[in-house]
Amino acid sequence: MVIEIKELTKKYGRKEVLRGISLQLETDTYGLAGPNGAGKTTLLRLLANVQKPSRGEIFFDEESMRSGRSNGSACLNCFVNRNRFAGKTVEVGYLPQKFGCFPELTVYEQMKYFACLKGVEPRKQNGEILRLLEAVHLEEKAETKCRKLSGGMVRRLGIAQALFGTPRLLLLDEPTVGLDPEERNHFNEIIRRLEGRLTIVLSTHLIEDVRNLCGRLIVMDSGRVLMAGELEQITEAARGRVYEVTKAELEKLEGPFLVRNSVRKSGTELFRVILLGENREMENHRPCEAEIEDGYLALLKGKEAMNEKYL
Amino acid sequence: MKNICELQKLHLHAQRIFYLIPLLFLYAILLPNQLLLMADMDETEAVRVFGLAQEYLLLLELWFQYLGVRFLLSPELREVSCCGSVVRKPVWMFSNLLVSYGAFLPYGICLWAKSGRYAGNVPVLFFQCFVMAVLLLFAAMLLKSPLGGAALMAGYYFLCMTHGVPQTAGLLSTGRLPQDFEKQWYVIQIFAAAVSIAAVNCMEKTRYGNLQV
Repeated sequence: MVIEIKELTKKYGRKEVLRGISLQLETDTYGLAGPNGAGKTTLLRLLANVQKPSRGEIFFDEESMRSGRSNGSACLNCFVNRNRFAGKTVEVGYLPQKFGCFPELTVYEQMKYFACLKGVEPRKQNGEILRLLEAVHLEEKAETKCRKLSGGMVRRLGIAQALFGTPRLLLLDEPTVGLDPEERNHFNEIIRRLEGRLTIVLSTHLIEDVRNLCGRLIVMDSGRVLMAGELEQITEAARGRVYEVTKAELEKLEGPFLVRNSVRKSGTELFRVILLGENREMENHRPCEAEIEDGYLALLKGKEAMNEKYL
Repeated sequence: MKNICELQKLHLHAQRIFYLIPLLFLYAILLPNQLLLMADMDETEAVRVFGLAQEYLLLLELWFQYLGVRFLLSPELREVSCCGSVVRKPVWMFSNLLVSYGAFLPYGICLWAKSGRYAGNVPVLFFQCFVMAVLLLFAAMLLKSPLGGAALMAGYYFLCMTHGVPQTAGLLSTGRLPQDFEKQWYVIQIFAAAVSIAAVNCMEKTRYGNLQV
């Protein structure tokens, strides 16, 4: 499935949260990264049809989500109160940032609740629920009340509900927030099993998640897409600009730069810096191998560096 | 429709205690007392009994509808239940209304059987329950909060009960016999319900209630 986003704009009152975003998504796992307020959650909500855009359109396989019309042809069916248009159902699974359960329901009942909402036929519900609970390793918790689940289990339940009806687009809004390493591994394993079968968009603050799970990354800031591409392309933004320098060298450094972190090597503290701005390189130093985090930060902060002298 | 039934079963099972306690009060305490009162009642007493029945049933309807709206529009689940949901909110509201009618019907029949010429008040009572249900859903969606909607309606309910609003505008008018309700009152009730349903439909289509506040 190809999802085409054209000039998507979303305003809350006068505040423009998304500013004319255009993107094309194919069957792959996409990371959606950016600072708070970049517009990641809004973009996911628009894709999930939880909210309507102020301007612009989303096309699923060349059919508009908003009006039901084909890209460039006349409108036949209006998009109504579900992800259904032009006689077809676009299966979209969505795990929002704030996902909760009814504490009074068991895991199985909570899944039944979602099955009913999503229109899964009652006779197929049982099989489907068991299949999904097994997929997220919650089959043994089926009869446990939701109030007794850990945060990680609730997130897994969230993924299970998003997978109802074998969606072709899976939207996950910061799914790994608050998970311990073991739960994160569980989550990664679940996503890896889905790879290649559907389009996954995973919004996250953690570049580690992107490196582990995503084939491509979309970097957003202030409602705009700074860059979208394969991880290698994002890394490219920092290639030749990453250096490890001592404190003394750091103090002498001129022009805009960013200190990513510091490490202690052979008793000396070394600072990993990313030089920003145009055509920057350090004399008498060999650049380090750039990582995806460097590329991401170079993209985010590079723009700011144009306006600010030092970071 | 099958999904609505399944969802309703889940809803009733999950919140059964919140349904059972008020119904227990209705059938174990209120109804026997009212039947005793009705054994040889005069007109003043009949009006008083119906007034009491209306007040309690409308309050109960408000509570039942809140439970139903809460189940579908709870803040934690609102976003996820709006993505690809096939359950329309007015349809869900009507199914909740059927549940409460089912719960109130034996009570209504008992009252009807005993009330003779005042029997007309029972349908009026059920009609008011319908108006209450529609207004509560509208208020909950408008305020983007089931609790907010219920609180607003509870406020309106108490205003009506204490005659804080004029009788023709008091949609939840109580303590009157059917023949005392003017045509204008019915027109206002139907109009309010129709406008509320239209507004709910409109909000649903524009995803108004889906925004997180």
